[in-house]
Amino acid sequence: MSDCETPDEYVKERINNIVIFMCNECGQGSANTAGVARMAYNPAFRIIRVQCTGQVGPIQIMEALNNGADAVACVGCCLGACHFFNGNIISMHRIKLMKKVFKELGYSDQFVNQYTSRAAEGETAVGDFENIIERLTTAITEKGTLKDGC
Amino acid sequence: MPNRYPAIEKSTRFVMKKLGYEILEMERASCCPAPGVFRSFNKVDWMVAGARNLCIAEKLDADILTVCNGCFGTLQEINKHLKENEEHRDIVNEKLKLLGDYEFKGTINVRHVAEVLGYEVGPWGLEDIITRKIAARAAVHYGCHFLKPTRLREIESSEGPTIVEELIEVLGVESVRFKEQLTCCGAGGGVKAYDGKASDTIFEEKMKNINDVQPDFILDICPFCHLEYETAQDQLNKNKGCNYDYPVIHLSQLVAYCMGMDREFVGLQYQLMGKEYNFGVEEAKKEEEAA
Amino acid sequence: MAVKEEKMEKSEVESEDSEEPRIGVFCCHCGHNIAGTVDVAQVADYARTLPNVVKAEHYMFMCSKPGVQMLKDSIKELGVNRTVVASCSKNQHGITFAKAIAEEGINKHRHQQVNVREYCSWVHKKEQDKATAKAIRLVEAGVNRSRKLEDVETRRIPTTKAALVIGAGIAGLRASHDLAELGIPVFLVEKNSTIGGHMTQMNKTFPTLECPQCSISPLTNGVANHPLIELYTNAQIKAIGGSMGNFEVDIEIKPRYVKDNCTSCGDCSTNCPVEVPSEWDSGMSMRNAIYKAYPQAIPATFVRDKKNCIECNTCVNICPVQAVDFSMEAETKTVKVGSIVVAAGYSEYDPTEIEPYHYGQEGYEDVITQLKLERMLSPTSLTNSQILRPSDGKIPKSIVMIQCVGSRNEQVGNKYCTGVCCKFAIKNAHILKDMYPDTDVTICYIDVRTPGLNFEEMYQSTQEIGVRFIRGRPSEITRNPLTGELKVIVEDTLTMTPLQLDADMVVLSAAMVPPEGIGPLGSKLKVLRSKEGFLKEFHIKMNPTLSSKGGIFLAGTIQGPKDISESVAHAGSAAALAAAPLVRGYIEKEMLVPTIDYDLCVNCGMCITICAPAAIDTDEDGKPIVNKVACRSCGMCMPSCPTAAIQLINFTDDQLYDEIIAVSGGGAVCE
Repeated sequence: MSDCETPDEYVKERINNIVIFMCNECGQGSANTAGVARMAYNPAFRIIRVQCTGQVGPIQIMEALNNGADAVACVGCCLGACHFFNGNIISMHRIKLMKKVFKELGYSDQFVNQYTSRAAEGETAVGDFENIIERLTTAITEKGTLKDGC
Repeated sequence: MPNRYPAIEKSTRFVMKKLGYEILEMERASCCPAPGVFRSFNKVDWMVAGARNLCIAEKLDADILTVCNGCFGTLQEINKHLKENEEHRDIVNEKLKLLGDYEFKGTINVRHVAEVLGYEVGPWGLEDIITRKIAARAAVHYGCHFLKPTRLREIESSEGPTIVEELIEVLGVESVRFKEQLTCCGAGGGVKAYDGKASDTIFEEKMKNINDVQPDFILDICPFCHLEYETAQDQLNKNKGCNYDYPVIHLSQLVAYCMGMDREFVGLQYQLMGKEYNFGVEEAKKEEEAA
Repeated sequence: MAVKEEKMEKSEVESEDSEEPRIGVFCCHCGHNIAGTVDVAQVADYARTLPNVVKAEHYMFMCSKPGVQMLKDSIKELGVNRTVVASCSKNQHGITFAKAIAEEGINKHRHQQVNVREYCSWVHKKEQDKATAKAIRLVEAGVNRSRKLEDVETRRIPTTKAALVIGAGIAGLRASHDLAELGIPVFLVEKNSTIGGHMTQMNKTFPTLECPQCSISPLTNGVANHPLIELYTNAQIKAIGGSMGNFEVDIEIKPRYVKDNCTSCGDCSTNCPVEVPSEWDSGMSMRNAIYKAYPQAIPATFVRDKKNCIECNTCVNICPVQAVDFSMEAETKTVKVGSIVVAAGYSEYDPTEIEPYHYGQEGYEDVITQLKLERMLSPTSLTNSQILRPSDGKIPKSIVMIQCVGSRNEQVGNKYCTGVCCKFAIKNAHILKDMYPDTDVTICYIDVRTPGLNFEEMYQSTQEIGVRFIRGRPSEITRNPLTGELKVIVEDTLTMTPLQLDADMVVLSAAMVPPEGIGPLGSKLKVLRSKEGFLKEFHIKMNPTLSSKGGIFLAGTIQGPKDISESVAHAGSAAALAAAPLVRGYIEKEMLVPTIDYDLCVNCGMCITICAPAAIDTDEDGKPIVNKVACRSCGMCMPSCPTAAIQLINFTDDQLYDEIIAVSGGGAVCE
């Protein structure tokens, strides 16, 4: 990190591709609402719609990371509201395990995250996105991006 | 106990020996410390002091036997807590190092003589060993720290215990239920020292209830309760004009006697209250027959 | 141009025979909404370069008539068989375009909607370059995704016009009646020998103090006599197979030992030598080994309790119509239904585990529950509707009611508030004080919860007649061993005074808990339960009467504690939902279901475990098969499979991969 760059700028330079898996219920609903309300966020976030975050497996996550994504996140319905009952909880467990795997492999565990959002509240989606950047900022300024082989 | 009631200690040793247990001495053991007063001042230091005693037992690779609810309350709780809570265990071990070669490992258990006799030996196990029975009615006082909190002590429900009553039944002692049997004697928790009046009120109520059932003696399982029952009865007689004279007997004394210990060692002659009581006429008869 | 036209002709011919994807990409300006931030022309240009894209255009308003016509024309003229529209959200116009292509004969699932408005142009207004780059990524992803899209059929599944209602309490009766009135034959299954449930056990209902027997009687008679309702009492569900619209249910009917020609004269009962406490009456009266639970019971046929019967045969001989038949055996009946309504009710919490209250212990016979109190007050009780202490039969001079027994209690594991106990305690306290003005009646509460019309008035009038309300949760009920007197130890938290209340009788307001036997029943139904043990509704706000499984509906307290009015309303909703597919005659379902590659399947069963609606069964060989009707298309089975044998159509690992590499590959295209 050069002297004239703030952590935010440093991160923004290195991060240009974050894949977000959003469920077809609250996930993409909240992103839509955020769009309707013209809430601005980093263009690095690219959204892929899935039926339920429970559908997102380690294969999908690793494919994203292996093919150029700087980070991956799943955004599902808030707890108790999963359209398919417990998909968001299963996804939560899965992401937790993946974080452990990353840690075992020596990487930071902040590159994969699970969030919840509410279809009618766009700020929940944007808040989740901002949290991703926060986590990445900490992880990257300490260790560098995945591409650097942190 | 060694200070004020050496007879209880001697009775306990006698009983344990008869049952086949070996008693190892805990060198350099200190006061438990008290589960009420000490703990409320500084919980960490309380745990450290208790843990040090536990370490001594760990080194001897033996369970600790307590004869007192207070000691049981402190040591059992600290033992269980430090076994389960890694964070506190580390803090305590750090401080223990300053006191010497002590490290809490969590290898032993803490026992109370009432539950060793009540469950491990059990009424029938006891029946096989005793040499004499007595006939008496006793008001059983469980005290506070033996059973409560139920979830930590894991002995019996504190709402309707029967462990001591079932045990003394084989000795020929009938437990008489009295009103509000399970309340505190009034002494513990620093209450007696801090608020003597409250302590006295509690005790007065208790004695009234006990008096309603007219037992032959009061049975306790804790020397602190023992102390309270003896001295406070005396106080009530002096200050409130009551006329109580109930002998107060610790479980160890009772069991030791039934196992054949000499009466002079059981210590009834040192009683403050009920000096004439000597376990009933029945045994006197038996002695006559033996003679 | 000429060359291109030739090409088009060739590809037209090709597209008819082969599966070659021919993708049409349409980028919408949406006025300034998209075009103001994203360079739509650039996006369309890029899309044109992608493999299989035969047309890529941009247009001002894709959702307008001419815009939609562009899609249709591309299908007609260029043989486009997959469309990608980059515009607004899937919810907004995805349907519009899907419908449009369906009108041209292309399956509507071959449309891929890419959102470059809410997801892109509207949120990256200040970063136009990056927004365009992102839009290009998203469109490429959409194109990739569309390449392998398959047809998904919408199937019409004919339904069996019949319904099963489990439980004949007030909710079950209401649901059965409503269903039957819609012309649907109903099989009503009740595990007890009589119908009516807990409501018939009440003495009076709040707030009007009506007799519940009188209120429910028209309904019980109506149900018993309805031509479309077949009633099975003394019966339980043995097995349930099938899925929504077409269930097959095995009902096990236990023998009554009394035939249907019973005239209910009661001679058998009067002459039966055996007497046991009546369970229905909470022990407040005795019944014989051959009995009818209570006088107004429906069915009016008597029933024999085989366990207590000493087989003296008196009833057999004395019955004027020879209805008693000891040789009757259990029967199993199999019925086919389209919808199932579960109305299995609740049980009263058993306070035995709250040790300080000593419920059920020797010496504490005067500690009873509200249900027992209701039975004591009822006209047929042993006490002749008087309130007498069970221990000595005297009228109590002081009655203390304790609220929240088993509710709002983390120690015993029930955090919830039952919500009905304050109302019925106040109702009963009012009745007691009216009957015995000289008796002290006290209610120990934590909070008094009486919402709804008329209930605050009931609460106030009860206070006015002299019932005392003490805010405090009693810590214990003590007993003087010498006199047998009970005292309730409670702190009045409003005046901060510890009290010892004399209590000749203590009435515990016990919680409503899930009914006994819900475990086995729930697993036969394969529905999910809430953490408190009740059956879980589909959505707590929008759908409280649908269970987690399609075709199975919830009515009454089985879904959670509620009072009678709420149960009736709840049951009505369940009946309406249950009736809809049956009246219509079919269920329309999109077959967005997974397929299983049996060459890869290792039979680990993980997909079966993880499927929330239990839509994966096993066949005779033990291999998993998908129940296409019950499947909800969530896709959770996919990542659970260790060999990726199970794949959800149009959401396969392959298809998702195509989308992922486009989205994650290459940072900013503009670089």
